[in-house]
Amino acid sequence: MFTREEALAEAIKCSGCGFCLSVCPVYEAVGIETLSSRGRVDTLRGVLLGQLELSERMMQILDTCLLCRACEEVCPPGVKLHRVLMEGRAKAVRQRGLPWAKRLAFRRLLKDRRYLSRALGYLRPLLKEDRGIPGSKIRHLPSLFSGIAGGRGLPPIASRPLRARVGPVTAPVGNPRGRVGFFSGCYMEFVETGMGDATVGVLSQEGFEVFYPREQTCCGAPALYSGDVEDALEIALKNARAFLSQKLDSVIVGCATCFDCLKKGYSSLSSSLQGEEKEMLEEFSSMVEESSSFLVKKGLSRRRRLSSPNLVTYHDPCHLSRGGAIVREPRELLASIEGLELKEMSQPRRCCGGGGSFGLAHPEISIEIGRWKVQDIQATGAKIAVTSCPGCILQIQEVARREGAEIKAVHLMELLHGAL
Amino acid sequence: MKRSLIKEFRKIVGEKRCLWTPEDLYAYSHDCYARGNPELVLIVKSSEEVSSILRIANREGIPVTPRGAGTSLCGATTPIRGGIVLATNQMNRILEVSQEDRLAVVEPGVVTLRLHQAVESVGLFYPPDPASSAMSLIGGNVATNAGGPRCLKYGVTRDYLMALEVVLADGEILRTGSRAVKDVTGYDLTRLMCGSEGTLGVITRITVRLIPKPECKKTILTSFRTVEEASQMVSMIIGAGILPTTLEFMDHAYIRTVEDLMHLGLPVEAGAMLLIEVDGFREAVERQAKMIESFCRERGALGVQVGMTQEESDQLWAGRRMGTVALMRSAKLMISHDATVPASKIPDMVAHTHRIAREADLKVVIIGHAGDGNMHPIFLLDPSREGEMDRFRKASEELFLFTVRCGGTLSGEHGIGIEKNPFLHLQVDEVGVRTMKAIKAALDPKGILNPGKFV
Repeated sequence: MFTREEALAEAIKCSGCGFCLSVCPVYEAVGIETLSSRGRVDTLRGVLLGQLELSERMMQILDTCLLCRACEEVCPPGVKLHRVLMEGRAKAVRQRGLPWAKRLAFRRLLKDRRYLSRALGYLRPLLKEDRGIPGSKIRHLPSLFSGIAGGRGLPPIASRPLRARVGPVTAPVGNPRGRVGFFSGCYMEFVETGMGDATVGVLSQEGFEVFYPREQTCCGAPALYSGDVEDALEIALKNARAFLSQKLDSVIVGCATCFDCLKKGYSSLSSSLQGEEKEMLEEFSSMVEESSSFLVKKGLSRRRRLSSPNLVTYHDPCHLSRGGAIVREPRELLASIEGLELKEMSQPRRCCGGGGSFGLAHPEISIEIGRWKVQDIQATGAKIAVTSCPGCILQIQEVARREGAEIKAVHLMELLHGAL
Repeated sequence: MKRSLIKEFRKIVGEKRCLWTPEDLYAYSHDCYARGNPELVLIVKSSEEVSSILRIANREGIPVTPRGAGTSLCGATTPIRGGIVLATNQMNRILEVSQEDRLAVVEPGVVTLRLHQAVESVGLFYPPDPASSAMSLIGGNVATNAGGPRCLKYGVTRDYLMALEVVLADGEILRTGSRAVKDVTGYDLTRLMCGSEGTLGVITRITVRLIPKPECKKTILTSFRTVEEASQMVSMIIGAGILPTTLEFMDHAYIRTVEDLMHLGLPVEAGAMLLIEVDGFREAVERQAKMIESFCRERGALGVQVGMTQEESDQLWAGRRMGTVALMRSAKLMISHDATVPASKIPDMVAHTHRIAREADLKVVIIGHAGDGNMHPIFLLDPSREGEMDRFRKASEELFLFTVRCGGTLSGEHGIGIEKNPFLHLQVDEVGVRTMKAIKAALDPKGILNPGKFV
């Protein structure tokens, strides 16, 4: 992970010019400098220099960042805020430990799908809409256990997890073009299993044999982004082992956050390892591909069309557009669908405010940010917002429902799958 | 600050907008230039709140430093005497955009770019465009009389002010100006407040004059062997009756340094580059652009490029916009002055600045708004080098002396703040200082508003 020195080297680059204030969604929602991009770099530099302590307020400062990295994109001196922030969170875990709920979630549930599956089984009846808890979709699952946030409902858990519906091997349709692994992620695994079906489905339609190893678990992003490096490492190695036992061309991910974690997160985690484990994690990380970018690289082999013409807009998940510089690919795939018209919103790359467990921990800020996104979508006239991250989909759907906006958010793979 | 006082202030703004944890004080302690030690941060939402706060602060003699986006380059919003930081960023409503009266009424916390967008969406135009307009607030623009590249043709912030609402040090609310374009009733208090850097009152409402939005614009990038040639070109353009919107100047050192960093294909052999923009009705713009192009060729310009579309124009701007970013990344510390001279003195100013920097063993590159003589010598400093900052201070003083001697000013658009306070005497004589102090004493007898700044 990032060392104190690396984090400090980033933080001292900040000249205080304030350009980031023009794009920080949290700052726009709360209007408080301390909880802005510049305020975070500044106070974290204070902590790293020993001028400030890891107080309660500092924990709020660390906690209220969406890690959307919009600030990094406009920063003249090029400060990488996420490095400073991740070191800050890791330092907090080292000094203060994890809250019990996160400890339980990260240490036990995220490491083994069987435990998580069982735990969710117990919870499922509680999360049904008819029990009076407004149904919305789940974010990263540990949020469930880290205190249920006021005002925001938790999502209904699918009656059968994805693995009960999709076998360990899915055969290709037509001429085989390769063998790939499928990394499901918690959301597709337990909540919106349809997106998982669709991702595997498209890969198979395109001639890829899809391996879906059962030993895989959560990507570890909740632990990693909370600063729990130790558990994140253990989870990372478990996933690497699950996939490296097969001979695969690539490992495909349909969730922007999982992708960012497997690609960037794991490669930075590997810096703290040595020998065989380090090599293994690096090899796995290098095999990871985001679904749309993989399909564009390989080229679509089949023509797709919508049964009736439709206008859509595309929302760029932060973890794809800024994390992985994947902006062109999803649009290329959309353009390839006959009968589909893409109308860009004014700020497609602006964060939707979801941010993993952020939405549960800070519902007011999250919904405020989501509202702008929904209004931006509505202004295009499109009724369908396409994106490539289940987290964003959940956020947009929920805010749209609260706002009474008649828009639907769908995963790009669902659209492709259904258009054949 | 006494607990009881904090309680009193908290009653006015409520718990959420009354901040005093060490982290909040740290985050609000600085602008782009320096750091102070505030004791309390109050985020205000109305003139009434500002008035109630100032009433107490004045009674107790507590310093109050108004703050917009905190992007000052000269320490204008640094709370150097402690006390209260009064943040106006949440007073961010655009109250009115009137097409008939061609004006807008806004609160001080509106981001300048948002004002641009709001008025342009109805075919109107608010010209002042400081480089910080994406994040700076209109209140701060007024308090520092902000400029920007479009000032040659359109003037600065003060040229667009019609009326202000200002809360004075004792909490009284002053209303200046009117909604009339012509207004000679009494002292021009609007202009007095503009550029006062928060030392005379807290601006809480602003009425700006708007003009019709120009139909189109064209960008021309050209380069010359010497600064003199470029300077003559500027005179020739204006002499021919063309008033460009923008006339950006970049010197040899800037071109070389940026090219080394970014490889944009800039003409490294050139002594100076000019980025020229003309705007207005399409026919007029086309004719003006053609004239400028032919002047450039006549005068032996090294190259002339004309940008017709927004995209092409952006490309021509790349060297100027991305260049400063690259410089910022390459230098340990970058300080940009904004000393301004009469247009005829630009070649002297450039030569002189380089001589001063050479003698002081400092690295400097120069850009500027050539049409209005507003130059930006950018010093690329390394504070870890022995004596560098002392040498920089001395060089700055020499530079300021030079600009004042040739009829210019210490600051064209950044302001005085604490940065240029020590040099104020170079330009403002005893009578000038006395007059400023008299105004300050009349409006803020206890000296609670942004104390320690230029007056």
